[in-house]
Amino acid sequence: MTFNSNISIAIIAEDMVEIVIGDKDEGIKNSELNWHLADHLLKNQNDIEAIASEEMISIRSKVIPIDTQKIEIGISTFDFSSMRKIDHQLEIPICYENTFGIDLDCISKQLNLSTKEIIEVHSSTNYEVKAIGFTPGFAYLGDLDKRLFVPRLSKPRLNTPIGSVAIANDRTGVYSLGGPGGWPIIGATPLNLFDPKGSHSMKLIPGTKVSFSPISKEEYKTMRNKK
Amino acid sequence: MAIQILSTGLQTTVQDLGRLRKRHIGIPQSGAFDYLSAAKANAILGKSIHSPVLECTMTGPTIKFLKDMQICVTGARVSELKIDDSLVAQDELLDLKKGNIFSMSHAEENLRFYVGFSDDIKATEFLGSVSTYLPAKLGGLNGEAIQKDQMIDFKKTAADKYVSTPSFQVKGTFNTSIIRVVAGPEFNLLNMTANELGKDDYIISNESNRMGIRTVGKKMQIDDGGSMISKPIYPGMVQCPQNGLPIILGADAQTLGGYPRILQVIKADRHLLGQLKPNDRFRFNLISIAEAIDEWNTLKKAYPFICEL
Repeated sequence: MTFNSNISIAIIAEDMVEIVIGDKDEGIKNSELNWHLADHLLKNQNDIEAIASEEMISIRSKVIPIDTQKIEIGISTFDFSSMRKIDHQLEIPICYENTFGIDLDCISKQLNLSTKEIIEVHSSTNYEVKAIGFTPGFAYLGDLDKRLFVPRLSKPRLNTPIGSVAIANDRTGVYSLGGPGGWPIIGATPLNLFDPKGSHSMKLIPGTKVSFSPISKEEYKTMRNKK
Repeated sequence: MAIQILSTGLQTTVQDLGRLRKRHIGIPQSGAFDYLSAAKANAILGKSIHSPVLECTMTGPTIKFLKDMQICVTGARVSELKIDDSLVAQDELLDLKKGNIFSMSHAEENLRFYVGFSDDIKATEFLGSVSTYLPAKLGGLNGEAIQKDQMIDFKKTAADKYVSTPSFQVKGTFNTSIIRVVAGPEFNLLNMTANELGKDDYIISNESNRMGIRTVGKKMQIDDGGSMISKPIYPGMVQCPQNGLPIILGADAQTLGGYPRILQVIKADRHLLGQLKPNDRFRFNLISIAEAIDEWNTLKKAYPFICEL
């Protein structure tokens, strides 16, 4: 099975294009398709970088100007049926106490919801990985319940604590590393989602199902110390 | 053991040209921020431009050599390079003998300088590169900046052909006062014309690091609401959060990001980003993609070794 649809390729720099896939067969999600197509294009051409987001695939070429024809040929050889079925599930323990959920109070005011309600809504939703990236081990999980939509911080934080669980718009995610981050933080997980000795960030790929289970500060500490 | 670190400098890390083709699994590129200077050190040494170098930031280390080696220092002008008590030159092959102490003081202007070695630094390889990525402690020497009293091991480099006179321009300063850009995919969210963009000075914030160069001073007017779906990011993209202070993404740039990508630094200027230091002033100069292609061809002529980048 190949594409029957309109594909737009926009040149955004001397070495970059962005590809958006329009209509496609029923039942195929863009988030999964983009990731697998990016992977396919990388295998097809060794002089490019590729990134998949929920909406698009972005390509950066070593060769300048970027050769769009070569990329079109790469896309045309992609076979939908080669997409791996993703059926694994991951449960992520999360402690929502204030020491971790440093933006909970602020979000509670913004949304006019109690912190208890925020926690209840966040932990009772089933999520799916929509994209992977940002930093190693980070995954964009959706959809977040509409009641919890908050924008990104107007100034990104310089040091996000490792393991922070954050929300922004219709997505939630776990900051697997420290460092800068722009999403408001509601809790933290003791899980390590990036293990360079293991399978890199591949614990989560688009399509993986994810749920959060609330834990206490004590449970957090115990799980953290186990490692 | 081949060298011993007597003092470290502000932040000295092992870098090569980075982890390529892994952005789709969320792994940043990393690698020398001013990769042209790093490649130049290796080219002068007659080595593959992908060989590991030490990237020094602002101040350099003092190194005791425990075996004979040739080295080369490139990048930002270092005020004093010394073998024991004798001053030596930058951008040249230097012969270090067992027992010599090599010291590098600080960058006179610009920010990063590079030390290439005739032998190869032994460092941890991760996904095809030994570049240090500090946030995840990947690559380099235990994923960290070099430490005082650390011993660094070397191995013989595979190819040891040495060039006497490099066929490219060796000296050169960095003009970082103008950073040339093309319009980014979300340029239209800026309430600003190309002309207005080029008129303002932006100042580098001291909150900058290898992931992103933050700016202070002039605020851009942006219409976004902070609610964009996260989009693909590469080093050299310029994001603008709702506070209007643009961030230029660096060598360790994240792979996806949700702030509007208003500009993209052209490939011919991306290496310069590694030389922007806190309080430096610069202006953006918006050019066309066709001009960006020409600028890349010009740079490639001056530095033939960057063809494979």
